[in-house]
Amino acid sequence: MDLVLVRIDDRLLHAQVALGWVNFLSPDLILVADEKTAADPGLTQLLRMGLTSSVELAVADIENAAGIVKKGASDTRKCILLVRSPRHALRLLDAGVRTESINVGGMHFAEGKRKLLPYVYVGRDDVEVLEQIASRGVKLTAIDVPGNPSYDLLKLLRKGQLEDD
Amino acid sequence: MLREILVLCFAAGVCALDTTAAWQLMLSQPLVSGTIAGFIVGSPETGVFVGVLLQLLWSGSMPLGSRPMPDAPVGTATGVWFAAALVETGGVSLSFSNLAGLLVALCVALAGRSTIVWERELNCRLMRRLRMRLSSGRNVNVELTQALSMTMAFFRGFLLCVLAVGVLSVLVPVLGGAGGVVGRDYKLVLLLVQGLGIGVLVSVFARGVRGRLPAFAGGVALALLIRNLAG
Amino acid sequence: MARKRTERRHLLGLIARSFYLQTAWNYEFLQALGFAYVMSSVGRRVASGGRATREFLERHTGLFNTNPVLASYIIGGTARLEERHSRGETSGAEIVALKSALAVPLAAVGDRFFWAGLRPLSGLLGILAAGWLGAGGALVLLAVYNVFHLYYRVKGVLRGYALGAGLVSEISRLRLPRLTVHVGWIGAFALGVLMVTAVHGWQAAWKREAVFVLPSVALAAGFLPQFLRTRVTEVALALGALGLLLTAGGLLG
Repeated sequence: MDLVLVRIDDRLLHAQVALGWVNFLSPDLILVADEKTAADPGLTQLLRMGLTSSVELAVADIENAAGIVKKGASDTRKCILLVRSPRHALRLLDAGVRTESINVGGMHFAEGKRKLLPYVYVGRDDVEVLEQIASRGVKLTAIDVPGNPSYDLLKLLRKGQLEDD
Repeated sequence: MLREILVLCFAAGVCALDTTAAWQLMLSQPLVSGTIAGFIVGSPETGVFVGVLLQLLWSGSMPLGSRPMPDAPVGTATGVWFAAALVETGGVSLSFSNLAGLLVALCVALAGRSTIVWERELNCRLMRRLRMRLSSGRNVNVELTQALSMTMAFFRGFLLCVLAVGVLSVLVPVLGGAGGVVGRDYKLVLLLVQGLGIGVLVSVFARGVRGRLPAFAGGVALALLIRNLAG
Repeated sequence: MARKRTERRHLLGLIARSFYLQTAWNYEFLQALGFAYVMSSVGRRVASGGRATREFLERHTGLFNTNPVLASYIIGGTARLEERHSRGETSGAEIVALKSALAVPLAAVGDRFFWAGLRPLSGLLGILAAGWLGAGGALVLLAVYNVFHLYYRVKGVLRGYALGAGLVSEISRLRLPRLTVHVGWIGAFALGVLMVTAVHGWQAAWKREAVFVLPSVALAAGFLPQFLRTRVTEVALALGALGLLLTAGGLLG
């Protein structure tokens, strides 16, 4: 399985992915690694409606999603893997998923978070987890839809910290 | 003259509202705002011509992600006004005025994009203030905040149009009296831009989807058949 | 009878307000203010000041984003749930859950149909119509788009209100994904017609060579890399300005 995009997005499979990234990468499979979605078959059915028929959709909790990725390691299908938060992404890495880079495409505002980009707001714990992910040699890139400028997230984090001090 | 420009800018403001803030009836689509602008400046055919070209170019743009789309309605209205004003000077070729109007529309639309970012920043402040008042237990007025934001969105489009027309009106007599160069035939450039625009539609409707080619070929065949039958 | 009439009035008000869902759109809260505005007419009826109103507003000023047309389903459904909530039949958390569960799938379905399909199609049909109707082309564009747009705005609010939380299964039966496929076919077909019409037009207005030039430019442009495709305004500006200068300098045309 060729992980063409691993993305952190709190809205998971919305139009930026279903239109923007799918048209750009033409994947064979979209894998949503999320407990909450996996527990709701009705929601899974709704999510499938937003995709063209040429893309397969799989929804699983983190551990099973990691299993799917590892089991399909030898096939050549192009896969987009979606998780809700940096913490979920870290759990995927812990479960043995290997990837060179992770795309941060949507971490929205909540009370007490600070803004890095219009679509990336981080809290203290987010920063910690993101640093951990980066320390495993995974490159963190912030970009919402293909064609827009992309940013090195670690650089943004460090720059933001300097301004805070 | 002044009244005509005020009506034009008012229409640009209304069409700009339609993009995001309200209705989404597609008044903001260049073919529609271009045609409206054409009627206002007394030259519907200019409005349709410039509107069609811009409609083609922007038919692949979608409101996805953090970068706003170019300000199509205000750009189109300004471009149509500029093209019609050049025609009125009598000193330019039709293809030059159309091309100049098109370029003006593209420039104003790009300039308008950054004003959309400011507008959204102000909206964000309105919302933050409302939530702060709400969480501290004070009264909030959602309707008033909404009306404020609508007013802001309208005046962004209106004032941008006023500003663009004001600045560009200096250029009209200069170009109109330039003679020679502006009287040339610029049709090939217009053709290339239209080709680019049709290309956008190719990427929307024909590219990458299996089985779309027969539908496209069917359209070509039918159009050719009708052409031949008609003459 | 009288109750039916007031209910109809409320629903009409809700439909009218649904057109303002995106007012004050911003990056931090997206459609939150718009949703609160749409709902505030419901709020006046179901939350009678003080704590109830504050909680009502808190439920509806949180981050929210979906396709503005299909949002009407959520608007109708939320209005129904808010009425039930005022009678103590459901919890505030359930209302928020419905909103967030439906927002994402409706955004994907709606954006694909309305933004990526119907909008370019109505533009294309409008352009074709402008070829022989002139200014009437704009009316064709408006008609094609708004038949679907207004239908789903109105239907969404009505069905959402009728079904409340039961709305999820109704949405999974929406015909829009299949319609999206048809829109693609019609678009490709109309594009073929447009190509021939445009070539003929340029052959009459310019030279016979248009039959080669226009399709090759269109084909090349159709396969531009993503980076340039999302910057078509800048590309068109550069192409137009360069062409203008070359023609003015006597090197082109």
